[in-house]
Amino acid sequence: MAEVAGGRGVLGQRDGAPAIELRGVSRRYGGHLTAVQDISLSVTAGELLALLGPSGCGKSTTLMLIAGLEAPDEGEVWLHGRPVARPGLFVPPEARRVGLVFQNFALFPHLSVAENVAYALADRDGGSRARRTVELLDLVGLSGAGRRYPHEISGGQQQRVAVARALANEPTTILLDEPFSNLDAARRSELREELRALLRSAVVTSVFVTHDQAEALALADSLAVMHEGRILQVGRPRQVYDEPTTRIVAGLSGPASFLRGTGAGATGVCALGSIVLIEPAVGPIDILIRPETVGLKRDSQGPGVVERSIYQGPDQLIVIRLDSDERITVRVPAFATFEPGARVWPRAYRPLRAFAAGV
Amino acid sequence: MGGSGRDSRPRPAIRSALTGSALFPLTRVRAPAVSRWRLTWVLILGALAVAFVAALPLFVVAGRAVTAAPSVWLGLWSGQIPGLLGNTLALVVATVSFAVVIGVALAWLTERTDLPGAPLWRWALAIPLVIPAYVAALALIVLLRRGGLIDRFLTGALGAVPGTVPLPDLFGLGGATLTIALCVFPYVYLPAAVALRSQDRALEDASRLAGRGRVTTLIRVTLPLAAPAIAAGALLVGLYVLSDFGTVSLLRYRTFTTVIFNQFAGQIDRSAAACLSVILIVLTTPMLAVEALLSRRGRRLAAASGWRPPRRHALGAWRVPALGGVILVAVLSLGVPLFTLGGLALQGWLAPTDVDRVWSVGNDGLGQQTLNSLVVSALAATVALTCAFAPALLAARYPSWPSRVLLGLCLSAAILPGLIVGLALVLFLATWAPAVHGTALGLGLGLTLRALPSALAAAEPALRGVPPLFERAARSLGSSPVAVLRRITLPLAAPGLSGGWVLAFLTAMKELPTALMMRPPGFDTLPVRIMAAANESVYTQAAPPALALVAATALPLLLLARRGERGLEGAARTNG
Repeated sequence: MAEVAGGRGVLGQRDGAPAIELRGVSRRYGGHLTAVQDISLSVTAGELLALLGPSGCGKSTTLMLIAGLEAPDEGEVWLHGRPVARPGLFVPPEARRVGLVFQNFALFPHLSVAENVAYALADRDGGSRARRTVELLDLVGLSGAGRRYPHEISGGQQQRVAVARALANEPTTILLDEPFSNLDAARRSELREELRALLRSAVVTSVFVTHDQAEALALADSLAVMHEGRILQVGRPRQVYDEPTTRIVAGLSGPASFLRGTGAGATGVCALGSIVLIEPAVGPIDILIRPETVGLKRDSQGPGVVERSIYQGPDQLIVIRLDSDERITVRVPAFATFEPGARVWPRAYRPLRAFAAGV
Repeated sequence: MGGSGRDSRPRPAIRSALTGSALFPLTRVRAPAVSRWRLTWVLILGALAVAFVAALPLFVVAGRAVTAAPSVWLGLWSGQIPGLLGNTLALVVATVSFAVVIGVALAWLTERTDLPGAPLWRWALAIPLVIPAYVAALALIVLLRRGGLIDRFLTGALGAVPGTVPLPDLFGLGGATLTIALCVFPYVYLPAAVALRSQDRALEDASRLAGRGRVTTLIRVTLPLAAPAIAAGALLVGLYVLSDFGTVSLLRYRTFTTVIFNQFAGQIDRSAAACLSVILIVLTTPMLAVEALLSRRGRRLAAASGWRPPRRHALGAWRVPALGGVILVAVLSLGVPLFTLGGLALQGWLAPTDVDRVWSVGNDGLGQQTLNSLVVSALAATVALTCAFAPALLAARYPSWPSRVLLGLCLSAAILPGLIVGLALVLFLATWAPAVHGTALGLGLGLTLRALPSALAAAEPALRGVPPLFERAARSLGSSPVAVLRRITLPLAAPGLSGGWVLAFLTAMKELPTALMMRPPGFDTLPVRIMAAANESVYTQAAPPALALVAATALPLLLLARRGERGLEGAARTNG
């Protein structure tokens, strides 16, 4: 489990020292441009944490700070109860026992697959190095490819070599930078499961960075949502998706539309009429509409008109323009037909979440 | 490793749209097959003709050597060859090693560290290319010989006993190595700098995270990745050393070229010169093989997506010695020759001695020599570029083994020292075309052959760099193949082609042995004049043509470098 120190309270039990801990870390580029700002984060040993956010939110910088490829301007980085970066101290990357899988995998093009993996086995003698290399290639299912060169194997295989190289020297922590962005979309979910199993079997603490909501939700034990250099919320994926603490987190953690409304305690009023709120609110609010939380009925008295439908195979997304001139997107089964121009009534299946307007 | 990690993803879509004839059903109708074939045949015949002429020196020399009397071979083998081999190989190994060490070290300092003034040093360290090694040798002789400027200053001004001032020995292996290496290290520096600059930051980062420190990372990742570029530069240095004639003859170091020239000039037996030439050519083959191996390995070092510029290391306390080293190289390679020659030229002009006056008698003047050099080099470069076009386009557009063989034959003159090109042409013309022998036309032919590889080496990638996509697009819009060539291919390749012209021009300008052997009587080019004055030790008269030569070659090179920022690299980027 992870927690935001000084945030919304402890989300998990502390079991000895956290594997990774950031304390009030800031990193600025070129003097004033702030890449990450006062972030605090702690990751329990054995956990798989996703850093989710749009590009430029500082998630990759956070990874580099943990790896030792960047030095913090303020704050401290701790690994397993030992400081590795704080004012007056900086442990270089090669001494941190942290593995990193790069976004473009960064395999050494002049070395074979086996040589790439063996490269990370600096402190072993020849025999033990060869044995461990074979073991790692078996682990990632590439035992036959040791003599081939990186340019001769597929993207998915390159990724597995990169993982094997990162795991080689039995690091305590593995970091993955956008691990799936360079792979074919078609094979992504399959590779995702493979990677998850691999990281489980290696029993390491892992942190991966992604801008893909589905990837983060599917893969992570816990999720940290980042925006403009800050961590906004940390929690289990389900919890972050269902109980976002701010409108920004709601937008970053999954598909979302928002409706203006007015809270009146347990209910609120908006363009859909009166709806039930999960948490009581009073005054101007923004109501979160996830596509799957609302159902559609054709109704000539309804408050909205179908603008277009986006067919997706198993289901379809219907974009509705409400009479208030707001738009919401609703997910409905593929067989239902909603022609553009048809008047509909969207109804919430369950209580909705709302945020005080302007937050 | 093109230094661009730019996204080129939209392109395949466009390409498939254009190749898919469904979108452009008229394409095939509008482009008659006959005209395409005619153009291709013109290219093939042109390339064959150029390849024949380009490979002529090789065959003439080889033929003369094979038909030489066995006694000539035996005499050479037991007499001259062992010593010459030792001398030549020692000079090649020493110069290549020295040039590689300083070239790579300087490239690393200017590209990968926080060395102050790196942009300035990038320029300063490329400029020595315009100073021919024989000009640098001249300057060093004037400074350092017994009775030279430094000797006279120390005995005269400081009262040292004449003849006792310790001076470094210029004449011999050490002096020749130092002089040549300081002129040609940019051949290594420039490609090494590009390779170091275009490496992906992630590769070094990955090495650090694999538990390896900075030094191991440098030795096992950074340098091996730059090795193909460094090897290409080292090959150029090696070929330069083998072909050098002026420097070694000024510094009195016996190599194949000096002996071949003496054999030739003495007219004792020209087949002996041919035999020695063949051995010299054979010496280039192991170097070509090593370079070919490394560049084949280099082909898989394609840049990954998501490229980011490499990190610069903080020099810390090493900053001062590093800066000192860079300044020392710049001063020795650039400052010393230019200031010495400038001083000498002034001295000859302001305080002429009797010798100076004797030399200016019957002399058609610096202006005329400069004009001779400029005109004959410009003609040679233009003809060379025109000749390069057919084989280059053939190799770029119809890659296959015949087109590669043609290209190789045309490039073969690159491994032939100018001396041998000159020798072969003299042998050939004397037999087959005595009317051309010893005329300005013959000299132009020799310089063209010398300039052809430079033109070709630049034209082929320039034409290959024009994406066929654009030509297909123009064809689909109804242009004939010839119109496509004129309106699309040539304009797009123009920056690379003009670069090839400049390089060919520089080669012709600096060429010494071909000019010495082939010029008509009384037709002095700048290099010929420099050597003539230097051989008579009239250094005040060698300095002005040397300065004129440096100025005449520096200007086009600077223009090329300035354009390079937009033109050459822009074209390379278009190519993705």
